[in-house]
Amino acid sequence: MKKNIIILSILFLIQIESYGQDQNSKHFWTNSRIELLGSYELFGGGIGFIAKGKKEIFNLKHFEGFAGLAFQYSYQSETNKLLTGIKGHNSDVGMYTVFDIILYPFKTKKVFTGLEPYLGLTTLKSDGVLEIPKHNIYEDYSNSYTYLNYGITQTIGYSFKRINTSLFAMLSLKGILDKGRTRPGDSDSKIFFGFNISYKLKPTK
Amino acid sequence: MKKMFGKLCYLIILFIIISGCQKEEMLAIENSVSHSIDSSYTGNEYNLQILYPKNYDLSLEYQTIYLLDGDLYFNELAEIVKSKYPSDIILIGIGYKNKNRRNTDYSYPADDFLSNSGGAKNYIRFLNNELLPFIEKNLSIKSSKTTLAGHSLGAYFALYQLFQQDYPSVFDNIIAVSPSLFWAEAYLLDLENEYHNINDTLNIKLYSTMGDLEGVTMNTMFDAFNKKIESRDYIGLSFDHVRLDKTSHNNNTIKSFDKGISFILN
Repeated sequence: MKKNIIILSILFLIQIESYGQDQNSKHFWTNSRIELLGSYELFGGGIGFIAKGKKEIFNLKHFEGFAGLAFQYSYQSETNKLLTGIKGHNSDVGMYTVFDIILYPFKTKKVFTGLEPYLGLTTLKSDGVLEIPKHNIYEDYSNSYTYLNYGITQTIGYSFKRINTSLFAMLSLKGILDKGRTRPGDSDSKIFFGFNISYKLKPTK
Repeated sequence: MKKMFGKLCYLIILFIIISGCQKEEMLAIENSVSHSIDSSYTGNEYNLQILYPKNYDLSLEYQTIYLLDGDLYFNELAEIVKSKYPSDIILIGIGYKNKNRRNTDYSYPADDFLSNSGGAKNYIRFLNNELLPFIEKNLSIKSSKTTLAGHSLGAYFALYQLFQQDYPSVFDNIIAVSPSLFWAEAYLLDLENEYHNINDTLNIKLYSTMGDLEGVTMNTMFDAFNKKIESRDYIGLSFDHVRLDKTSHNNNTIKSFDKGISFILN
């Protein structure tokens, strides 16, 4: 846990440092983006949102690069889903640092696709009870687990001036480096799909 | 150059998706052979992968482990068996020659949760009357003890075949990893209750595990079932159960099979 917090703190400091350097030359918000994503978890069925703040780090003819932070929340109800008598839920809360590379394949910067590696901490919580009166069963369960999470978000979308809309898939790659089995879609290596709206706060004039 | 970079990005994305979703490759394992067997009960053709011990002696008896979902787990478990128990165990992975029918074979009764479910009675008959005789007679394998090991719905099946009373349970040990105990409104609790009403003996070594990240339904049912079994005081039962820390549903499989084998050998 300590190791995870240290890693995350370093990543956040790098982000803040890069913002600070950028502030020396122009306004802090110039070419920053805020993003809001609605997410649906494949397999588990959890729904939630992701909020991101990103700062442009380069802008070429066909490529743009952003770095920033993301906050994620996802909620999955288990109440009477697999079994009558269950009242419970699972939730994910995550904080990540992200680096987004966007490709505009055509001359006009309208259609785009993005590849965004992320790295940060996720807390996975489970909480609930089971009651089966005919068997005299009452059980409660609560669990919390915070872990280093990493993966890639892929996007494809369309740009309307300062607003971008896109579809995304967020794939956790945890399991590749932790000596576990490769297991996309498991509870600690989830796959999310959804819709993304982003807004460029103050473009370069 | 930039176009090439874009294409490269897509190739990487495609590779990640495909490598994440593809079925694990069936690699040849040293000391292992493959067979196939048709079942007149289920109508399926099954693929068997058999790992023999080092210096296998036809005249000796060995611990024989029948592994459900053999297509998925045989290779990984075979590596563990070879390294930790090289002379003690014959591992038999039971998979499918054609389409995977685990939803049908490992479940009873039918449940809306999975389509085509509810065929476990036929699968028990396949095991009892076709597979085990094939292993013993055609392959001349002698078993000192037999173990049935399964994960998820496979673990549910292992427990279901133990408590159902239409056909005999022919196994000495069971390793049930992350069992789907919620199946059909916790039908297994009803079944165990019926069994207990007329039996005070359960001659089996039973090892079961659950990952702590498997959610509320799986974990509460795991606790409820374990407490029920422990409260019965069955004669002949050797039972152990473990909740594994920081462990998800699919990550529980191999390490629990490993722990389960250690339990049944001691």
